[in-house]
Amino acid sequence: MAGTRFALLILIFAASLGAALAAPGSAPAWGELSAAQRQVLAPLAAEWAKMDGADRQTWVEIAQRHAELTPEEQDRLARRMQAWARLSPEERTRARDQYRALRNMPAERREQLNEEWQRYQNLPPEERRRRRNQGKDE
Amino acid sequence: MSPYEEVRRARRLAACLTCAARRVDGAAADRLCAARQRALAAQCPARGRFALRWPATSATPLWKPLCAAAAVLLLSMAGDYWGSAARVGEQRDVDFALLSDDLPIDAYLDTEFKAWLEHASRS
Repeated sequence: MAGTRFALLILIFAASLGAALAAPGSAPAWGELSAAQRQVLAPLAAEWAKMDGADRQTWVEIAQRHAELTPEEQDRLARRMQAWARLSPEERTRARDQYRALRNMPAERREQLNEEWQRYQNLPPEERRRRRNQGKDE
Repeated sequence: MSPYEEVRRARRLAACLTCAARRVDGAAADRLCAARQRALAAQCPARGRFALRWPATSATPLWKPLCAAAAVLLLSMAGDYWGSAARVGEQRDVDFALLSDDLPIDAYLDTEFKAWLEHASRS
């Protein structure tokens, strides 16, 4: 009797786990999105059909959190959506890793990141190469 | 003593008692007969309980490890599922922050920028 009850408990647990794994709405079609989500995700409309379920779910969550952003950040997000969607999985992983690494810098350096990026961008290619090689030699 | 030896000894004892019983007079034979009946009556329920318990004791060793293995398997599957769900959640947080960040995506794609920053901070 105890064995049967235990087996029944395991079956119920397995069924609920299966239901959780196969949760509906993981890959909504463009037409299934709300009007507000379609408005936020408009830059991705042409690429939506090509995206896999995980990517679509990520964008749906980003659209849901869109209201948390300032108008300036919302503009940036809209401008970067297509570029991000076109990156390969490896490039996205690299960008995420670098984001984590740079965000873990001391606060005073982190605030200067934008200026540092501008300085880095303005360096002539030879100078960048020279500094890079210096860094390798050290 | 092995169960087989025990049975053999019990049979020999029973045979000796049967032979000896033929030499017992009437009153003692009646008392022996009554004692035998009481012993048999006492033995029967015990044999019945043993017969009823047998399938359960034989089923227990089969059910328990199977159920335990299934439970362990399900728990590890659930652990994997929730672990990967947590990783995906963290990744989505990073994507959201990265896409709205003041630094452009190119800064995060350029691994040499990080190396340059480290070099600049040292010099």
